[in-house]
Amino acid sequence: MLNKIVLFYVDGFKNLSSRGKQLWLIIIIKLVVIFVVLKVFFFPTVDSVVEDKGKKQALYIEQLTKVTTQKTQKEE
Amino acid sequence: MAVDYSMLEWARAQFAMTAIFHFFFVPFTLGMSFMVAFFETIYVKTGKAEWKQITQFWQLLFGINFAIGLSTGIIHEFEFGTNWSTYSWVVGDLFGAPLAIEGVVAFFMEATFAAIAFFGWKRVSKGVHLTSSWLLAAGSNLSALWILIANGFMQHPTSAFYTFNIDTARLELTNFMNLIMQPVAQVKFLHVVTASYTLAAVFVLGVSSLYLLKGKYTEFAKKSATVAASFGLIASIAVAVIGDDHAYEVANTQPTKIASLEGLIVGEKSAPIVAIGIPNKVSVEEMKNMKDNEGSFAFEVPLPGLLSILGKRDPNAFVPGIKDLIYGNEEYGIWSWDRLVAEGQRAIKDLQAYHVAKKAGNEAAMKAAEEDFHAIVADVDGTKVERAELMGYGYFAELPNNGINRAFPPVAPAFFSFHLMVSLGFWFILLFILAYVAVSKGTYWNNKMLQKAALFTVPLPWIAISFGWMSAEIGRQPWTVFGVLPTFKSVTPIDLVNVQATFFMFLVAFVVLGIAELKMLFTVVKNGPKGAH
Repeated sequence: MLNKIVLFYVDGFKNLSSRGKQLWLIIIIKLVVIFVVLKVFFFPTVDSVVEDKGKKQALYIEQLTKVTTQKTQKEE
Repeated sequence: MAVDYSMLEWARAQFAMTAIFHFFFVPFTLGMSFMVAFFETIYVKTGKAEWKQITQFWQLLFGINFAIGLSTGIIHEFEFGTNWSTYSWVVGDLFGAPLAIEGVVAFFMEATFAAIAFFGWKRVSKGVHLTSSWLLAAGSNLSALWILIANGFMQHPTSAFYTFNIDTARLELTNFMNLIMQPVAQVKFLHVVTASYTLAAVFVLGVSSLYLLKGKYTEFAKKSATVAASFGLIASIAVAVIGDDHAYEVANTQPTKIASLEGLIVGEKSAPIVAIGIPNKVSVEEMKNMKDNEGSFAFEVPLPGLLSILGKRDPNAFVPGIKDLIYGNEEYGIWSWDRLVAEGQRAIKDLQAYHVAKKAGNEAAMKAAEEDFHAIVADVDGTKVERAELMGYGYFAELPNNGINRAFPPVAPAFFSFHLMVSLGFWFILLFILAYVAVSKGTYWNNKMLQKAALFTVPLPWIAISFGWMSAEIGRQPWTVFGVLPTFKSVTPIDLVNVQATFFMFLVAFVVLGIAELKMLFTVVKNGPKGAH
């Protein structure tokens, strides 16, 4: 059964039309750009910078309990 | 920390751009998947080769869009982590559940059934292939359901499905079924999918009309247009009917949104819908002295009582305006903005007191703070409101005058985006009524004017859907999660240059993908059904 499923996909990819191949190329380039270039180099999350869960929690609690009345230039 | 509006506006612009580009692909997938399944059903029922050719042609256009649009939505999740980290921390557990389900469902259903739909024409039986096409359509639409459940939560979070955990400072899901069945999410889902079906029907009718105008592939075009006219008529009317329900939900859960969408400054009985108008910019100070809506529009064509019917199902009902929602209205039990901010500040102090007490190991103080945090402060039509639910208002104390200038959405963009969406929606209904009647009588095939109208309508559903999202998201401001978390409190304090750089990277990436999509779609349309495999 598993063999049949794998063969189905292999066969499908082998017989791709030129337009199909073009689309797969676009998909692969896009996925590399999204998951390798953008994710790794341009989108560091706070999770990846502050790994310790306790520290992270403290960071956000500080953020959520701090209410200042300092005005921004735009608001003034 | 002062509120950095330049970073906030860039982060918002980036998210809006990502969403609009992503939604360039989504409705086409949602609608075309069903249209392809319809065409294939006719092919399997009749066994006629021409219906197979019709199915394969529209399936190819669907496939191009599906492939190019694939994974463009994932960029939102990167943005949540980087630009909107406070938002992600507070709502991550709750918001993440439907998004995770969407990811799994989309991957398995779409990967399996898309493979059979595209690779399986000669490898599986007609019945299995048809079933896969229907399941692919159902899977795509189910993905949309989970996303709109998540969005519905942002529009109308209620204690029916979440609680604020004072210890972790995060929202926790308490009732999964209530989250799924929330009326706001349900009507939103139906509104979005029916709009997507309308978009697909307009596309098929428009391309078929192009062939009729050119006198090419006329039999193919006639059959496609017949299905599109019927499907589009049902879908476009459904969008309006469900849109009416959607507006009713919005009026009862997000009063500032409906007031801004309709430019209603002073609340009134028998409130009108302004069919056509240009709202004036009215400051909160000016609103304070306004006794009626005189001067709120530079020009208007009001339809008396319709907003009361839309929002309250009663032509004489009172609909609150922006002034009532800011300064309060005792007669109708509406709290003032300042009162909400005061309650919110008290909730923030409770949160602070709890964590100070926790550090000191003072359990009695922790308990007292938690009790005050979760105390019931209001009863809205039988629904008890905890102080914790109002915490978001407290952050506006950071802004001058309690942030009263930012307490409601910007009226002009909300008004225009909403009214343009509705106007286009009515145009689609009219187009499909005319097309359906003409197709039924057999006059469509020679009616060049109607064919041209259908052809020039092709881009309009994309514009209407973008306006729809703009009115929904601009109308929710100043909140990311309505009443719980202000937009300015949701962002990560990172360097502006990071957001600007990624903004332009996305812009380039999306423009390239958009051009690739349009080029491939135009080539396929130009080559016609004979080259579609």
